[in-house]
Amino acid sequence: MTDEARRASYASLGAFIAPLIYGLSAGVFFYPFSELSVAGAALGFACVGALLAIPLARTRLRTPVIALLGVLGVLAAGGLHGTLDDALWFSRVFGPAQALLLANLIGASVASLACSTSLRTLALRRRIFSLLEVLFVGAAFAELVVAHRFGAINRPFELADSIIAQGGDPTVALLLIGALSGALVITLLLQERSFWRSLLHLTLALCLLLLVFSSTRLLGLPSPPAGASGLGLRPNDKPSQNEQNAHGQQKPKDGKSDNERLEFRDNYDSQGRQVPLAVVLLHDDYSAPTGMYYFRQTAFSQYNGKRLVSATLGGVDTDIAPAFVTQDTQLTPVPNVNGERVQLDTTVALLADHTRPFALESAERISPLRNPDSSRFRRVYRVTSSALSTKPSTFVGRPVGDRAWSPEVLAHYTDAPKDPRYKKLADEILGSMRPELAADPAARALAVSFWLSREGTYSLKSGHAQAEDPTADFLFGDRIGYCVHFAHAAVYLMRTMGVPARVGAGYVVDEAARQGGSSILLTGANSHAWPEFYVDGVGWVIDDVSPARSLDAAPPPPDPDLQRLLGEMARGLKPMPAGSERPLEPILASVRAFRDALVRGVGLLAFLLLALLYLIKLWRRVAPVFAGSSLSRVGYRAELDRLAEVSLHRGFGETREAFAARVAREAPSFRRLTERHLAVAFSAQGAVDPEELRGLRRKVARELRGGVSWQRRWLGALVPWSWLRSK
Amino acid sequence: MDTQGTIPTGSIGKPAGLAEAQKTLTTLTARTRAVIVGRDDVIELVLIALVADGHVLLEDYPGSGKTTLARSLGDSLRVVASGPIAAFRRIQFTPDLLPSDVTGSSVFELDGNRFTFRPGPIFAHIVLADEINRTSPKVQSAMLEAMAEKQVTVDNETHKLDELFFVIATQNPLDVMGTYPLPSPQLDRFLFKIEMKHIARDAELEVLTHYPKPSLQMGDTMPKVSREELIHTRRVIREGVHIAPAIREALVDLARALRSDERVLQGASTRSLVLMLPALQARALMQGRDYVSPDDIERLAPHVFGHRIECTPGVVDKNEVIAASLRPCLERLSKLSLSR
Repeated sequence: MTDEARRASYASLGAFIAPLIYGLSAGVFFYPFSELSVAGAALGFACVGALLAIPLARTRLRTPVIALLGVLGVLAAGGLHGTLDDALWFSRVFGPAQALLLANLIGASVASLACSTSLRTLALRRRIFSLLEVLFVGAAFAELVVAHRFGAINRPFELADSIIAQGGDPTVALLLIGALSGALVITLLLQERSFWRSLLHLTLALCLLLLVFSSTRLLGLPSPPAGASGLGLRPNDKPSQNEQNAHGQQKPKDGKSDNERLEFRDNYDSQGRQVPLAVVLLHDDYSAPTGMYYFRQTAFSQYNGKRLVSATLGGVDTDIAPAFVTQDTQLTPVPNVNGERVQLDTTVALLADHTRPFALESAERISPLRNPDSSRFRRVYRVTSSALSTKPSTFVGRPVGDRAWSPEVLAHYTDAPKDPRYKKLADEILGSMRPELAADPAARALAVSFWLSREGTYSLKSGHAQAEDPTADFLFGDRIGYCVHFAHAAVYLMRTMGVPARVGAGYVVDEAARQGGSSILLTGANSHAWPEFYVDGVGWVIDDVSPARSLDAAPPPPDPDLQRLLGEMARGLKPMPAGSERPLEPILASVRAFRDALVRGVGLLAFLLLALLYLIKLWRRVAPVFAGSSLSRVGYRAELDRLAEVSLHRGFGETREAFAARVAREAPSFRRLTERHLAVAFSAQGAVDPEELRGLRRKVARELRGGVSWQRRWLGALVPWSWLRSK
Repeated sequence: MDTQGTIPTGSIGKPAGLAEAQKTLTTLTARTRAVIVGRDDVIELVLIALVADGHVLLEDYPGSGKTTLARSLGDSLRVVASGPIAAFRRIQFTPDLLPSDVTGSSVFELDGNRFTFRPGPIFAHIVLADEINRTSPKVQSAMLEAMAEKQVTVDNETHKLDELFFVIATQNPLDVMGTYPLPSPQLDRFLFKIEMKHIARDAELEVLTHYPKPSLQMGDTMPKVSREELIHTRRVIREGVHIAPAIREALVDLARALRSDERVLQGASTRSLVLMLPALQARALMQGRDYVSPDDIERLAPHVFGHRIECTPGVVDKNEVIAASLRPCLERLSKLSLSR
């Protein structure tokens, strides 16, 4: 394309869609930051800027200069905004609130103008720069919904709140926003010379996105991307490449699914730590003695020479639910000889797929529940747990292990690595204890976790995975690791001391996180593995290690709004805001009223139209009875209507004779009637003999009755607009 | 034409005159149809041209019966034997033909010691000009003068042709080597150009069935038509068949539409419209009507305008161009009949 041709095309109608897209993007970009008026100003100035670009692109101004001017303009807008914001005189003149608003307005306007003018000009000059404007639009929309990441369905507040207030689902609205932005981006990419082609593409893109959107509604929301990986809690939990290389030759021999295993990872994936995975509802007030709620999903008790895996031996770990249940299922009863456990009911709603149900320790009964919102929750089940009401330290002096255990089971739970260093360390720990306690197994277990808490350093980044025994590498090395390391180390040491122990895995939540509410939100950051030992008459007692030092920042506390919102959803309640504030209600009401009026109006109009059509049809048929001198015309018209009813009508440019010849098969007499009609119209003679005409008309009607099936005739008689086609 | 009239105009009422004219047409049609099989549409057009005082150009392949058609028309005429004008003559045009071969020439007569004019083959009622594009433009122009003026000029002396002078010219559309194509002003002299298609299978079979019996004799038993009857028919039709003002409007609209069509370089002339009127009347009467109807326009327009308009290069189907202009005009006419 020559320069001239390109310049000529700048002003094509297709170029006028772009300003709208620019305006919308700028408005969306500034909407979360500031007042509505600022977003409106940005919208307007972006539109103007994109329009200004059309004449600007025609000038001789060099392209790099335009790009530079754009950057300078945006920088100037930032500077201007900052200066005005800080300037004392400015706030004195306008008052603080007005000054802030004005500064925002000016900054946003200048930035939008500079940005859209330069970007649009660049895109007009060279097609490759269209990518920049696509990025601009995409970024604006992404910025709007960025807070929605990690399953925070109540974010961004400025959008979600009003939607939740109406009892809607913010996710749907955000999907719509995404669809809209996608459509705009596609439109920019498909900018055509022709306005109508652009419009067509936009419509097609919207249809496509609508399709995607509707299928999302049907197939449910996509599963949370990650979270709780490496602990074997969730399916499709692929081992990292690093881990596979290191232990590729060691296929798990436990017969369980490949992904249900603990992994030592050098670099524990902290991606998706904020992704909500489940929400738990407490049916009764329960305060955990340790201040932590432990939700056990699985346990690893079999030592395979390298680490602990799921047990293959029968009769062990019977308290773990083998799979999701389809009916009310009673698990192995948890011993509760001295009443140290309390019965507690919880409801668990899974937001992500899990390999098996987890429950507040220790589960006794699991029954599936009806899913209140199948597009959001994967599964909902109710658990009756027998939760500990006393601290682990109260079990000092109690025997460990179960009297009913066979020697094999006891051996299974006390099988530890043969590495002498474990024995040495265990002896060291025992040596540091008071002699009367050192003989007590429960005290020994507590001492192990206490020692590890004191000596270990918590970090998701460590360097033990490549070692032959990662636990030994951790324990006898730098003692930097995460829960898997600590749990293994604790269990190995307990077992070395003769205490039956295992690693439990699941989720742990600080009691403070529920903030007095009854719903507990479990995110990827809550996934955990811990050591536990068996006390006779009590069952498995969790004896967690809490390292005193940590190299990692503490995970952010869960969003209490989201926790409450999801909890209500799990209860099957439609989320309702506190108070009666429903800002969109007037708009919705007017929309409903408009819709009702529209439906009524259209219905009435349709009825009137139908009545009118039938009236005209009827009149045209009976008019020959009253016709005087115009009988030839009116009578012929009536017969034309009769033919049109059985869908025989004259084509455009077809002469009346040709039409009559065409329908001669159905109505031979129509030919003669046509001749008489044309004679009146085109010959010098005046009227036609009315009797002859009537006779011909009767003949035509009779022939039609014989020549056309009655269904066709009756259907034709019912069609109100059939006469429109007779001409 | 004023000198003619064995039947006084004033003495008959219009219906009677028209009925007689229609009878004449029916006779001609029947005779010709008896001889020529499977060419009813061509016969109709040729007879219309004969009655409308025009000439026709047949675009055709050799051996498709055009001579037979022309001769049967000639045979249909009852000619005064003593007259100098033959009923039918055929001129085979060749490149070396001279104008005098067509028109006739002055011959020195020893008896009277003077030149006397010996009329050429053109002095006939019906002339078949075979392969008219094969002869030189000189001969063509002599021929065309005769067609337009009904006279020939030899040695500055003008010799009138008969009032009933009808030329059927032919040309082969494919065999164009060594031909002199007729330029458009000369084509304009022909009322119709008729492109003949090969006849239908049944018709062709019928032609073969009649093999031993020369087809030309088949119509011998039928009545003939005299020259006077034919000329009278012309006048009766001209005066008796009504042309509604709307029909004339439609013709003008059609010509204007053709001229404004961007596919058309040269549109239809006003003369063609004037020539078309008697043709429309003749066709109306052949259909048994005493008025011209839109159907007549639809039937004749392609043959009247097909050889008169010139289209831009690349336009293959002239008939479609004409039909495109024709359709709105016909639609208006059809609407008119209901709205009046």
